Amino acid sequence: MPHSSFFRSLLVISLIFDLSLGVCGQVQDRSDLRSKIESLRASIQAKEKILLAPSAEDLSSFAEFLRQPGTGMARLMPRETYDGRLLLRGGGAYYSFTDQSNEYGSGSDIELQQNQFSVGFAGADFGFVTSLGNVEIEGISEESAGVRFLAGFSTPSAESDAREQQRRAGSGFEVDGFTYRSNLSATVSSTYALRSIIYSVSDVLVVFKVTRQDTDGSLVFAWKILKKFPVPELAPAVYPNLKLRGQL
Amino acid sequence: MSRSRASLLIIAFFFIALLSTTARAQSSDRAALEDEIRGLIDELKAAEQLFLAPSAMDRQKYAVFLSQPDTGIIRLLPREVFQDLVTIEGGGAYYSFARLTHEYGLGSDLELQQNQFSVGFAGADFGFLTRLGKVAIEDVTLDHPGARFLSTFNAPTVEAAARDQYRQAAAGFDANGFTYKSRLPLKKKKNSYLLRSVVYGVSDLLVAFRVVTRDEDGSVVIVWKILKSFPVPQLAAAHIAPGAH
Repeated sequence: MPHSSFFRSLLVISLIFDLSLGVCGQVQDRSDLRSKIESLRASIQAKEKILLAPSAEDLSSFAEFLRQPGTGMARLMPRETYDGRLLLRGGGAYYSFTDQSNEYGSGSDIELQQNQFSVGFAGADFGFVTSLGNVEIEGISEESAGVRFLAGFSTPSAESDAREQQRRAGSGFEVDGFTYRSNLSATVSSTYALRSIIYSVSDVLVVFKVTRQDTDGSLVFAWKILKKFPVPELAPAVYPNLKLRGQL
Repeated sequence: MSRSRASLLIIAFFFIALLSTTARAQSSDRAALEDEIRGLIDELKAAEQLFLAPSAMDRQKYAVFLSQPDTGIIRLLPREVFQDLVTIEGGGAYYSFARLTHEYGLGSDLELQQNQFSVGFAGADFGFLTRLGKVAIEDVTLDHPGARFLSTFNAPTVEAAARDQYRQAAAGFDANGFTYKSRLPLKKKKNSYLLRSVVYGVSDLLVAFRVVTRDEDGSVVIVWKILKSFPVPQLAAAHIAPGAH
């Protein structure tokens, strides 16, 4: 009898030991899997950074320009091809001149999709883009023709006014012989001026020149921030005819 | 003169050839890099599927239950931990019992976040959750007292009424001795729950589920069964009475 109870105890101990080994094995497997996921992500992100970077030749051909402050060179991937194919949110089709990042998010200023540049992507955010033609980027300033209107534009703080500007940019309008829109055809060798207004984030005036197009449809461009405006804020909506319960 | 012109032409030809070779090499490098990225993303997605899958031990334990129709076993990852780690929309924290997917955005029924289960995520969608305690999933049927309210509730077709249910569920209410809420804390012990999830234009389900495992990374494995499928709810177009301001 004591013999059989000894064996029963032994059996229970070995069962518990077996189970705990199984659980430990599972935990180990999951933590290994998590590490694998983290390392794969890091490796993909590093490779995507290389894919998105302009080539050494691109950078060297604009080396002198890029020595100036507030300048840079970037690449936009066509959204219709790359969205969902890269780990990067937005598929490398967006760029933020203030964050200097292709990641789509609250600070994106420009998008490339269906061979068009566009600006203004969320909420009341809006912007205008105009083509200055095949001109050198180095000579463009706030006073240049086509840029003057963008430099002098006052950002509205009322949401209804911002929405009105959104609609105006959507249909396009002309000022001093230049057409301003929220989206424009992307053409190699053309220089563009862009005003991008992102409420609570940034308000920038940028000039950029498309230097070339790769076989994958991506566009490489050199850019310069001409002016940074104060971060715009939307004023809370006011309803003049609305009275609070206590005022009735 | 003609000799120097010929030399110039040869130099120009070699220069153009060199440029086009460089361009070709660059684009083939980019294509190779893209292939490499795509391969790694496939590998990442496969690893994520393994990470989301319940263990073989859990599956085996519920093999008989899982042989019944409209049942399943899944893992939910805590949203606050994994949202930015996995590529699946919603970070593996959501599940749709109607479409059998973790992918958020197309009508999810259940979420795990901050140690809480919740229901009702977009538009006028809403739902109710109630905890039944330590009851075996096999014993949870439409006859369970906790299922009475959920199985007889009529999903409203007017948006205002749906929003009202959403608010009521957020505050919580009692019916037949059970508390119904849109959000319930995840208890440590192996509790069973009932869920009614109303997703307009997609599905309306009454589901029973039980937490079977809780892993160290905060994920939980649940077994579930659909107790009742209601007709797909639709919201009626808003009607504004003539002359209304």
